[in-house]
Amino acid sequence: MLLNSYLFILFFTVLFFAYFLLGKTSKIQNIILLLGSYIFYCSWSFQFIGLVIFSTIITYFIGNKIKSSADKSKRNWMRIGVFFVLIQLLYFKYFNFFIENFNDLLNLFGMQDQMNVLKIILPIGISFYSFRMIGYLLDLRNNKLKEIPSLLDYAVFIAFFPCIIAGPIDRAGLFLKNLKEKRIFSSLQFSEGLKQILWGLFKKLVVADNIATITTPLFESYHTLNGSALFIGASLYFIQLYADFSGYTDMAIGISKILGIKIQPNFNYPLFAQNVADYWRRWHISLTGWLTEYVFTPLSISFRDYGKYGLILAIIINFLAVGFWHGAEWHYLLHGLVSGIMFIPLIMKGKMNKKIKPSNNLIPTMQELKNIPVTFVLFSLLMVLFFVKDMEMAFGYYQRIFSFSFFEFPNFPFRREILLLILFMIFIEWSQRDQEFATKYLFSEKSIFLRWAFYYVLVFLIFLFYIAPKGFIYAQF
Amino acid sequence: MNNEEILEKLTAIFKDELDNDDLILTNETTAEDIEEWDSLSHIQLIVAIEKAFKIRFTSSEIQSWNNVGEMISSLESK
Repeated sequence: MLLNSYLFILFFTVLFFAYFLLGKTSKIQNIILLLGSYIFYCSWSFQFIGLVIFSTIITYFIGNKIKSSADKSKRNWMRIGVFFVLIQLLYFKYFNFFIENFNDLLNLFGMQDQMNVLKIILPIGISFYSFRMIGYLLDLRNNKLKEIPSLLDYAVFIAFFPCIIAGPIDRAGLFLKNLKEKRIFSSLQFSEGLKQILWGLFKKLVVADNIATITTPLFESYHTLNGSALFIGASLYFIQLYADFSGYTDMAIGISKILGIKIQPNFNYPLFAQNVADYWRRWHISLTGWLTEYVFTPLSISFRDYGKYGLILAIIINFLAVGFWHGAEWHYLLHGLVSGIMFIPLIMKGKMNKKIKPSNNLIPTMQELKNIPVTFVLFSLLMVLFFVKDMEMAFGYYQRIFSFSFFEFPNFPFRREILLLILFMIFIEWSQRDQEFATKYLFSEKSIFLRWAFYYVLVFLIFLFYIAPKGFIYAQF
Repeated sequence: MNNEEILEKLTAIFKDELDNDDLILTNETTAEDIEEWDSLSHIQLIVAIEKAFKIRFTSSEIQSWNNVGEMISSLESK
């Protein structure tokens, strides 16, 4: 059940009325949310709902143990809990990666006995809900979470349907606050949620899915194309991934708003980032925030006697974890490694935490005109390591971009109307980049006709450019 | 050293490390309240505080702080 399907609209309508009409207390509302979330999960992968429920119950009881234990056994219970979650993640997501590489190693030494690769299906959303569970256990251990929620509330936190497929990876403390009081229908929240969903739909169905009609065939025939076409392909994919993933996130956050639940943001206009550190503060914020808290900070505390080199080591390990989180493929690991290495110049110059003050004028400043395109090109090139199938393709792709054919006219047909759609999205987002999401206050002070005309244009474009139901890129992780 | 004296000494360290002369520290201040206080400057702050007070925090102490007051409690226990 995709968030942009008719079935989901039906599901959500039923849930919405049950939630506000039958939900007389916060507890009943949370029961409705949990049932809805489990039904939603079953529509994706019926065979794994048992695993989600089982892991939820086990981690909940381990959480209770962490809370009630003395200091030393607190740490042991935390380790047991994290191990329990990680072992599942390792099995489902990484088992075959280790077997394949082990076999390659055996081959290298001329041994023929091979281990069999297992047919493992990935439980949908496992990377997202596992990180919620680990975050919960660590927050209890570090005393960041002061009280234990009820099992019901914790189960809602893990399985909350708008966020289980592809995040945002919310933090326990912030999310659970939402569930304490009974949520009352608010027309303001409702309309704000709808505006955010509409903008998310536009980014996903119009921008991302239409760019995909270029990038998919382009990547398939990359070995016949010249450097300029491949460079444009990489830049387009960067925009596609942003539109796809932030479009999904806007829908997830908008749906939650309608239900009176506040979700943490995941994007802060990363296409307008001005340097490497700035980009990572704006891209997939819930994942980078999670890793900063639970991987980077503990590591950099341990390495603090080594000054800048300790920081570099911590940041490289942190980004290797980002790469590995995406999947057991060498190109993801290399993507992580290069992302970490890209921080080195900033750390050496000591400019790491010098936050750039963005302007909010329509006309960009000289600094923005210089920094934004450079950062965009850098991350477009990095994106190659994200979308390739394997290392061989990555190598071939880069070889072509960094050849003289880069200066030739691109030998791939790019549809002009797609460029217009991208420019339209970028212009709207640029003009609203100091807001939580682009359509929040757009034309809010202008006449109601202008505002509704704009919404109508968005709906019109969605129907005009809608292609076919297409999954979200991040649902595979 | 009492709480106020520690707070005063900490404020000087924070101003210096975060390059912000206007900041005011209280026991309730958190990283959310000070823009320059992020995960990276956090480490620089800890290193500077350990040097100034000639002490060493444990990793779990550092990770359990929710505000400046809790940081001061750890300092006082040394």
